[in-house]
Amino acid sequence: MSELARSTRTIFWLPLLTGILGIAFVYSLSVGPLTMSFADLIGVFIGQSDDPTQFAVVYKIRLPRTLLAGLVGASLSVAGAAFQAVLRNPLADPYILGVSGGAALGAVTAIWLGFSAALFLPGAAFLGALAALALVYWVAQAHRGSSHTLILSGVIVGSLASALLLFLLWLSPIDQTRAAIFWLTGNLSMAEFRLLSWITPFAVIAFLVLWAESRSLDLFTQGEETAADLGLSIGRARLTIFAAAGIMTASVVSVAGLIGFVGLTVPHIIRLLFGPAHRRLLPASALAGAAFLMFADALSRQLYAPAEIPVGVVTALLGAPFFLYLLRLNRS
Amino acid sequence: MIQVEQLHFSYLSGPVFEGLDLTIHAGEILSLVGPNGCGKSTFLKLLRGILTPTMGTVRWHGKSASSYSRRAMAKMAAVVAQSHEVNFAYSVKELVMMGRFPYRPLLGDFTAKDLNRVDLVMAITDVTHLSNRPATDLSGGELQRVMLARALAQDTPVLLLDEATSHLDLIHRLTISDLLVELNRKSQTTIVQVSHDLDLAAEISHRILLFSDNGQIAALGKPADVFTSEKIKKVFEVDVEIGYSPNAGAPRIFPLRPSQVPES
Amino acid sequence: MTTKDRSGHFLNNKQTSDLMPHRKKNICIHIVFLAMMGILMGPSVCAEQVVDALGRTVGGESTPQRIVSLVPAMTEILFALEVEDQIVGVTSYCNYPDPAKFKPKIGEYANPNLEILATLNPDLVVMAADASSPELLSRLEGLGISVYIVYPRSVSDTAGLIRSLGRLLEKQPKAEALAATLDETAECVRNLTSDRPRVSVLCTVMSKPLVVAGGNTLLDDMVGIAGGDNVVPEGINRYPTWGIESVLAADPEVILVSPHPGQVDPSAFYRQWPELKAVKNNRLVTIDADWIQRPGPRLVAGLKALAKALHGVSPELVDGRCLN
Repeated sequence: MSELARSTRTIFWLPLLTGILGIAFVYSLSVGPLTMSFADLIGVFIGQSDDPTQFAVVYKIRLPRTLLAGLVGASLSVAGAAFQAVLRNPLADPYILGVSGGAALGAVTAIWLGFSAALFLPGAAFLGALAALALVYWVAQAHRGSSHTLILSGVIVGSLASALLLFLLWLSPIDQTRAAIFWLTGNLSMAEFRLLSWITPFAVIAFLVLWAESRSLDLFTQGEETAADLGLSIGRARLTIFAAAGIMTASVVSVAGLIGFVGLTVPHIIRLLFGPAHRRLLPASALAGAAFLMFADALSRQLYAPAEIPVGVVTALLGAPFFLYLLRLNRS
Repeated sequence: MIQVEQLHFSYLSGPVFEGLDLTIHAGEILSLVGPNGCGKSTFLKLLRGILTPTMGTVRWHGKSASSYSRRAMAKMAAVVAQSHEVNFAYSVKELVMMGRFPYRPLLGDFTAKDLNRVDLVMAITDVTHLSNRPATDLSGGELQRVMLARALAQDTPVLLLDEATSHLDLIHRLTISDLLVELNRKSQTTIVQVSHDLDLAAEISHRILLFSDNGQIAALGKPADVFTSEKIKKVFEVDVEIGYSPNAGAPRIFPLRPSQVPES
Repeated sequence: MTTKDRSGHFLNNKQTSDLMPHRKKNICIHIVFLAMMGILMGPSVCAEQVVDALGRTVGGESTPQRIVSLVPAMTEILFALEVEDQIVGVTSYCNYPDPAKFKPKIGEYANPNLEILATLNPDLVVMAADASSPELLSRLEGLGISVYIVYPRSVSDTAGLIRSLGRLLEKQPKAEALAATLDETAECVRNLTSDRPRVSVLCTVMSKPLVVAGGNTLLDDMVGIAGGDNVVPEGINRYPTWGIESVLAADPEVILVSPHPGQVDPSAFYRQWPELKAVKNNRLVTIDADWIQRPGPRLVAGLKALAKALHGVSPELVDGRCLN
């Protein structure tokens, strides 16, 4: 690794990433099917615009959507970083412990029962995710919560949930299937301030808990026995981290569906650039993840406007090559 | 300082210890030796409460090891293992800093005192120049010195070493051994080490504990009393001749090939 | 049911194996005869070869007697062609006309249950091009079943399809009547609305996700005929997914919401956006989805409903103009 890391981990990551986030935020606010000049945008913000459509587009569509993209991207990245550390598995992502399967099952059950309205869908997805997480943790607990058992039971619970999911989809009429698939592929079009106010507290509290545990996360990367020898109460720390990262994932999955690649890649990229210490990795991943998903979502709205492409496609198309490039650059 | 009484422990595969008694004195260097699989590493884990005995007790200052929190234990005993996970590219300084974890307040960060201790132990272990190097770039010898530095950063009266030097080059083995002896002399650090290098163990240890392969104590005492050809033969099933190190007078073990064994 | 062929033989189509060789011979003679006489004699009332949406030639040997329809709209056409007794299987979505609900169900249109399908022993399966995989097609053909693939994307496609099915099933007069009604209604509606200012329209298919009908779709054609302009541009996807901002940017005069039976009325979703012209002017139009999205005989009703919704043309006026 490290020519790159050595030169960049000492420079000011905070202003750099905040700057990138700012650019992504402005970019995301200024693109969309409705053509608006930058002056129009400023006009809307300082209250000088008399076009109600522009006003509605900026305040009721683009702003909540951009904020949601930021919140979802940040949460997935932070949760991904935490899971990768606790499980000491570079392939871990926020969905690894069955959260995705549980959330999907919850959401599709709600769609199937016809409760697609307002808060039912996110509520059901959230409960499904928590149920899956609790089940995984409960099973793994019988084996002292080793990371192998956790991953294994996560995979099994995930498969069970997908099986039930496929069964429900099979039972459902085709319109519901399409609605379910749309939800499963992940999208930010549900964004509205009401939803934001619903999940923001979860995300913020979970982030603060994880950040307070950043030294514990550092220790987890050294192996559980070493961590214990260095003074970490493994059981308590693991439960805290799983609960925080799990709730964080569940809350964003419940409003945005399954958006892949962000939670896997962003922590890796940040580690390569700024090193693995979680004190810095977690906030840096949050900023980078937020910027990344804002940018990806803006592209998904812009590329084939007025049609939208699934944002998960954009995250993978943008993230994978960049990630490969960084890997290549750092292993000379 | 550490009392082991009637220690029983078994894995699913069978019993390891059945009624072991031992007292470890403050300020001594004790080496645990014995054939593979006799339970030396298990014994170290029982000592520091990572494993709980099925019967009997391990007491630190009169209190059961399991009654200490991990944090309290980490302030009493630091551990250096044989191998380490280095999947994450922490810098050397960050790794050593982890040794200060038990002293960290719940919601605060490290203090100047922590930083001073880290600087000191990095100097002692001669890793200061590696400070910004990522763990993934270190050689085996460098990494082991860093791990020792991390254990020293914990500032504990007891150091537990689980084959900490066995896969190192001779030069690194010797420098680290020197370091341990010096620590013991200057700071009265109690050192309990598992070792396969009998000669080096004989040279630096105050006492040797020789395990037989069923977890019994075959011998316990001064190196010269433990390393006799009869006891070595009994435990390792190898014929040896015992010599003596010219400068320290510690016993040296010279194993014999079967053809060299005199008929009796 | 009996049919009379040109050579004067009466064939009871419900009789089977013992008559087959005899029948085949007759039909061969018939085809030769047709080849000579077809052009001179005008529309024939006999089984013919027709070309389907994939350019495959279907039929020509014997009139299909056991038909499975994998497309709800085709089920409607078959019923309208009065070949009800020949329909042996339909999909679980075939809900019109009422008797269709009581036909044996073979599953969904994209993946019918092949075992049920095979036991029904059909000699013709009607399938939609966009809901059928090449694998399904080759498996059906492997079972010796001829497959007619449809892909109607306009009113005139639908009329042509009705005529083709009429030829295939020897129901030309009935088919011609149905197709002519459809063509004439389309023509009337076009004439009645052509001199009026075009109305911009967004045709939504579902609201969660917001799926809209783009170019090269039946809805696009229907709206065009009824004097509307589809605001969805031609794109890669015929039915793209939109965000609500796209709707605000396009700001159509009319939004066509067509909830499927049993679905929540999506109008409430659009009413959250009073900035939309269609909401302000109360022009969220609800038309039964089956009238405008199913390429079948009920398009006649759909065209009239659209003409009324877009330009206030009354259905009676359309009827009156068409009768002339």
